[in-house]
This record gives sequence, structure tokens and C-alpha cells, in this order.
Amino acid sequence: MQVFKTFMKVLRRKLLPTLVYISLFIAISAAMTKYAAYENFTEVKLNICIFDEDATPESGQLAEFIGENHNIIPPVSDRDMLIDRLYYEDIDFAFIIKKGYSEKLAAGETDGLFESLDVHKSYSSSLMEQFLNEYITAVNSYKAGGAPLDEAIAMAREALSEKTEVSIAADENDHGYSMDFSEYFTYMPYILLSVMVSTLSPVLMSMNRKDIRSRTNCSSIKNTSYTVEIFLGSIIFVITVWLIFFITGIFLCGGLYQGRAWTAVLNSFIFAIISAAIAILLSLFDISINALNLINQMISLGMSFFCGIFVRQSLLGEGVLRAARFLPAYWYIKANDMLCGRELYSASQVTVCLLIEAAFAAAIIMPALLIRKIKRSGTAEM
Amino acid sequence: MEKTIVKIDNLVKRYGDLIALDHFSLEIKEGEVFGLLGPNGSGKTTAINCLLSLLSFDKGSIKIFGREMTPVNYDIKKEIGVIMQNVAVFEELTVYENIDYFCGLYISDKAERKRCVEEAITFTGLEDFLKFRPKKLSGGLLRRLNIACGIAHKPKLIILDEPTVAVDPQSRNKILEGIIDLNKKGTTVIYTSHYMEEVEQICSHIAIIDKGKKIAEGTKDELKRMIKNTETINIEVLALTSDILAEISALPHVYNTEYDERRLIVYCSGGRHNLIRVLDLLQKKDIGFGRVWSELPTLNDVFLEVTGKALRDKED
Repeated sequence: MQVFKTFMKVLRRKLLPTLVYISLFIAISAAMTKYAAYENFTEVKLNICIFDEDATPESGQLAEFIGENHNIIPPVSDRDMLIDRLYYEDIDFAFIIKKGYSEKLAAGETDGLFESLDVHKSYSSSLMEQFLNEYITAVNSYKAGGAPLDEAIAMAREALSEKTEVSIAADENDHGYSMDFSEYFTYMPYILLSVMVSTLSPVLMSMNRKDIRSRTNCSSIKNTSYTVEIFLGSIIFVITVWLIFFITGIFLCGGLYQGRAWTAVLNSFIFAIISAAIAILLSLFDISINALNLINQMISLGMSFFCGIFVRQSLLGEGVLRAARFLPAYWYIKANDMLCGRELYSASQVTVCLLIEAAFAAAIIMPALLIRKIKRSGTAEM
Repeated sequence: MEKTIVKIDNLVKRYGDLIALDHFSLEIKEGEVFGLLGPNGSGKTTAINCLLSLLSFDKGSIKIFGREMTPVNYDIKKEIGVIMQNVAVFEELTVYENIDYFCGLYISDKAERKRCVEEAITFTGLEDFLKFRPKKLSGGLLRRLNIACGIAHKPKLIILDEPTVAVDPQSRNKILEGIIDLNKKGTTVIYTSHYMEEVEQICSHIAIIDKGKKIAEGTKDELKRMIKNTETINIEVLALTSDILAEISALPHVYNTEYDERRLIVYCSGGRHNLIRVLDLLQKKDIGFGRVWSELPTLNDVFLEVTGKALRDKED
């Protein structure tokens, strides 16, 4: 096992990029998982600015009721300043309670009670407009039922104060693979590819250097033994790297994988094989380490941007996605998106994605074997 | 009778239309330091690569230790040490690890390997550099490391393909002394080089190869006898007339003369007392002369005469 031992020694001295990539990835993944995961629903309070032109008890009651659920911002006299604050969302919504509000409310009118001062339609302004409509409708309903205005306002406030119980229906309860956790597997192809090309390729280049191979071929070690020992070393490296991600995933997930998460694990393993195949292919070219690093960045970043690792596939253009189909990471992400529920899940389609990835691995290995054969042509067969 | 260690018979190697080895034959006896000389592109390295089964060949046969050499004849390979033209070591490993790796390709027993590695280190004088990586070594030390990697397993036959290229005189001397030492211990050595003085210094038998063919073979003296020039006489002399120069040229065994104002060069082929005859003639003509020296032919003269003086720029 002399060759295997030397493979490991060379690997140990080229391990720095792997350690950097893995450490950063795990640190970022841990942070993302911690901050992305939420268990409780928290109500959001909006910053509301009210201009009460009516200045009656009824308009005051409305302002007071709004103040119970939101932050009331003192009226801003300068209109330009108000627009600025609305624009920068320092104030979420501003409106005027128009003069004659209480009279119109008493008369059951619903039009011309308020004037919105929003600069652009936002979620907050829509929410508040909806709330004002509900409030007026509720008051009018109770009034129509025979209640006097004061009582109708009180009853409307009581009715609208009813809180809705909100609970997050955890996605993983359905299939064991939440969207939050899927992010960990989403970014994995970039890291796997970077690690394999930045570490495995240089080691293989070193072990298969022409003069080293010539000298080794002169020795009493069989050529097949040499190849098998290098292959064994490569496999151990690939599996070790993948196992690190596998085990880290268990910690980030908060327990052993369940349900569809196992398929995501299988997906990542197949991509680790693809990454190793790319690393093997690149190692066969007589290129410098600098050139290899450049190619590594081009492939890993290019695949990440094209295939939906850094930008979701749903946000990518049709043309980009059509081109990305010729890259293995596209199928990896597609399978991952289906597994986590980001896309409609279909077991058969996930299987197709995994098989296409496996085919990519084989398609990359084949030219690698061909190049190796061409490079060895002219030499005596061992 | 000396045992034949290597026998190359009618070897033909073609690269497309180019014939790299043209019915090349060679026989190397046990205990010899065999020099294989040839200009760039003459086929030296191709011959070595065929010998080591690194290259397939089109015709002929190679026998080492009396057995057919094939790529899978690992028993033969075990007895051969190879020191390539290029330093073939791992940049990532230390001096010790490199020697241990290459020795380990032949010797699996850990204790025996350790002993062999340590002996190779002592032999090449690398004791102070064991933890150095190749990048930190000078050219001479690198060559010594290359040699240590090739000889650590104590082979019976060592093939050195230009091991002293780009090495300073001190390191070169150390390497040559080492080769002589190995030979004294009974190792047969095949040595290829461009440096004639090295070959002359260490080789007991020499073959000259050019354009894939063996064009001369023998001991140093045998080779020197093959060429026309046997003595070159140099005399510092002033005002030599063309008449006297013609008389010198007419002396027995003189086949050529050159005169460039101050220095007379007389080329002789065979015969004895050539120098005395030339000096006698000068004295008779009352021509004063300064320094006088006579040179016997070197291997370089042999090499240039048999391979020609035209420049060779192809890589071997």
C-alpha cells in the first residue's frame, strides 16, 4: 500500500483549501439554519401617522383603537418630510380623518371618511385600508342592528379586537425535509465541486505526473495496483468529505434525517461523485495549479449561477434554464426543490433527476478514461 | 567468462515515419560501467525507455539477466534502478519520504526498507536535508536525491540517463565517485551523457549511437584507435613561412597543419616520435619557438569524428 500511503501524504499537504471551504460552509450553514428557523408567530406593529381633521370623540376613538395595535407617529406638518418618511418606510401608512367624519358615520355613509397619503401601494397601506373598511362596516352593521353610535363603535372595537390564533404548520411534518433545511443541501454542490477540484485534482496531478509514473512503471509494482491504490485514496477522500457534510446535516437538522431528507442525502452523494469525476477529468490535463484554480472558479461559480444554487431556478429566465439542463447541478437543484416542496413533488421525477445526474457522472468519467488511454498510447502496456 | 546482463538485439522503434532506433544491438557484461553516448536526438533515451519497457518497440528483443524483458516482468524490474534525466520526485514529500516511497515500490519489509533508505541517504550525503522538500534543495542536491531514489533498493543494474545535467562541478564529482563506488560493489551501470570527460572518467565500455544506429563500440582505447587523429602537436612559433609549413606537412604521419600567426597545429595519424621530428625540422631551419605541447585524442575527438560536427538541435 505504498502508493496509497503516499497518496494520503500528498493529500494531507494539499488539504488547506478543503478545510477552508468546509469550515466556511459549515459556519455559514449553521448561522443560516439558526436565523432562518422560526417557531412562533410575532405580530408586526405598523407605524401609522393620523391627521385628525374632524377632532371629535368618534375620530378620537378610532385613533385610540388603531393605537392599541400599532405605533402612532405624531403628525408631520411638513408635507415633503411626510412623503420622504413614507417613501423610506419610516412611516408605513398615513391618512387623514376628514372633517365631518363623525356626522357621516352617524348617517351611515361610508364614502369620503378618510384620505390615504401613501406614496406607493404597499402591503402595509393595503392592510390599513382594509382595516378602516372593516371598522366602518362593523360600526354600520351594529348601528343597522339598532345600536346607538357610541355602542356600535364599542361593539365594533370589541369585535375587531378578536385575535386570530396563528401557528406555523411545520412543513417537515409532512415529508421530513423543510425548506429551511433544504438550503443546506442547495449550496452543497458549489462546495463539493470547489473542494474536489481544488484538492483532489492537484493530488491526482501530482501522483500521475509523467516522470513519476515513468519511474513507478520501472519498478516492481503492478500498474493496476498503482491505479487501484490511487482510486482507493480518491474514494476515501470523496466519501470523507461527503460524510462531513452528512454528519453536519444531522446536527443542523436537529436529528437523524427523515423521509425525503434521505433522498436529498442520496442526491448530494451522487453530486459528490460528479464533482470527483470533474476533478479526475481536470487532473488529466497538463495545466498549472493557477490555471486549475481559475477553471475551478469558472465551473463552480458558473454552475451555481446558471443552475439555481445561488439564485432560485424560479427566478431564472427560461433561456438560462434551458441551457442549464446540460449541467448536472440543474438536475440536483430541481430534485432538491421538489423534495423540499418548493416545486410540486413527484417521486418519479425526482428519480429521473437522480438518474440524469448519475448519467452525467458516467459521461464525465468516459472522456477521462479516453484521455488517459490517449496519453498512455505509445507506452508499453503494463 | 563474463556474464551478459543486458542483450539488445536488432531493436527497431518507429515514431510514424521517423526511425528512432534502427536495428540497434548492444551487449552489456556484468560489472561494467557502460557508457551510451550520442548527440541530441540520436536515440539514447528511446533505447533506455525500450530497455525499461516504458516504450513498446516494433521489432527486436531485449533480454536482461538472461530473461526476456516485458512490461510485466516484475522480477527483472526489481533488480533495476533507474535515475531519469528529469528529477522525478514528489514536491510535496520530504527528502526522506521521497526515498522511502521509491524504495517501498521494491521492498515491502519496513525494517529492511528503513535500512536501505538510510544507506542511500548516507551514500548520497543527504543526511542534513532529510526534512527538506525538493523545492528547497539546490540543483546538485536534487540530483543526489534523484540518485538516492533510484539506488535505495540496491539494484544489480543501474541505468543513469544524464544524471549530471545542470550540476555544479563539486556535485558532479560526488555523483561520479558514487557511481564508481556502486560499480566497485558489483553493480552494473549503464550511463548516458553528453559530457565526454565524465564518460571517459567512469566508463569501461562505450557505445556511440547516432540516428538510431550504433556507430562505434569498444573500450576508450579501442575507440580512440578507430579515428584518424592520434596526436595533435601545438607549437608557439613566430614568422613561419609557407615553404616551411609545406615541409612540416610532408613529414611522415602528418595529415594536416594549421598556422595562425603565432600557433602551429600539426595533426598526426599513427607513428611515434612525431613531436621530435617536427621540432628537429624547426631547429634545422633555425626557427625559434616558445611553448610546445602534444595532445592525445580524447573521447570528444572520437565523438565528433564519428558523429560529425554539424549542430544537433533535436531533443532526444
